[in-house]
Amino acid sequence: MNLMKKEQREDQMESKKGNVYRSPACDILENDNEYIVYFDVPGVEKSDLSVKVEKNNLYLTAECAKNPGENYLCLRDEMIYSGFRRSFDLGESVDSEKISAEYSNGTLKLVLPKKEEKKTQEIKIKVS
Amino acid sequence: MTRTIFDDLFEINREMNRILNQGRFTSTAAWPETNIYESKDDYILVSKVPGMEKKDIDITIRDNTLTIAGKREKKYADARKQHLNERFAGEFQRSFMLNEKVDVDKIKAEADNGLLMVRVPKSPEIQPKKIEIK
Repeated sequence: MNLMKKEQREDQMESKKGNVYRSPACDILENDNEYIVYFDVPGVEKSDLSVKVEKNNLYLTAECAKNPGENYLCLRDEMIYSGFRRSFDLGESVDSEKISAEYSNGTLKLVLPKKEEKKTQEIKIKVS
Repeated sequence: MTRTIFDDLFEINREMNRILNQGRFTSTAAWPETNIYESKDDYILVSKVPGMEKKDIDITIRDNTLTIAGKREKKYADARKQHLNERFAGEFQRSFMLNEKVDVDKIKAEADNGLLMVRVPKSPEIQPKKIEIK
């Protein structure tokens, strides 16, 4: 899985609210058996999250459903209630059938198991 | 909202980061992005606190200054290799000075889907009173 090199950013896409999608912050970890990916998508409901795998590419799209500050005067405006979008090239090593996702407190955790033949294998040396 | 020189410095810092990073991973800032809204009766603070439990966030008010503090830990003990590290980890603290007197006992905070919302009602003392002319 070559995550770093073929990462795509579609910054110019328009979200449903007319804003530009932003890339969520992301951590990617690797184990012997799986890849674990964390995305920070604060303010997104579980039903507005979509994770797709298409031709070895992983696509994450999320929409912010509500703006808590409607009908209020804004004193300090630092964050944007836009959607999030990011995609990665998974390469050949991920078993896309077995991907599992978990969402809590604005953080999405994806577990991407490696294919059986791509797992790290230990080779035992025989002593003769 | 009272602005201080630190607010301006923060704005400049944020703007520089935005220009240099092309608006990408701005949510990795060392303190959470916060919006503040005001109406006639209350203030509302909305902060991005993804991946934090309720017990990790501390909200205090003193002298009309609301402070949000907290920490986020990333436990990646079983990871053999880390490819990307953009999410913020560590402690943070932010204070906001509120202009008008607030009702300290009626402040409510809720966290939902990584957004923290603090509703701070204004004190009834500051509501304008009509004075009859005799």
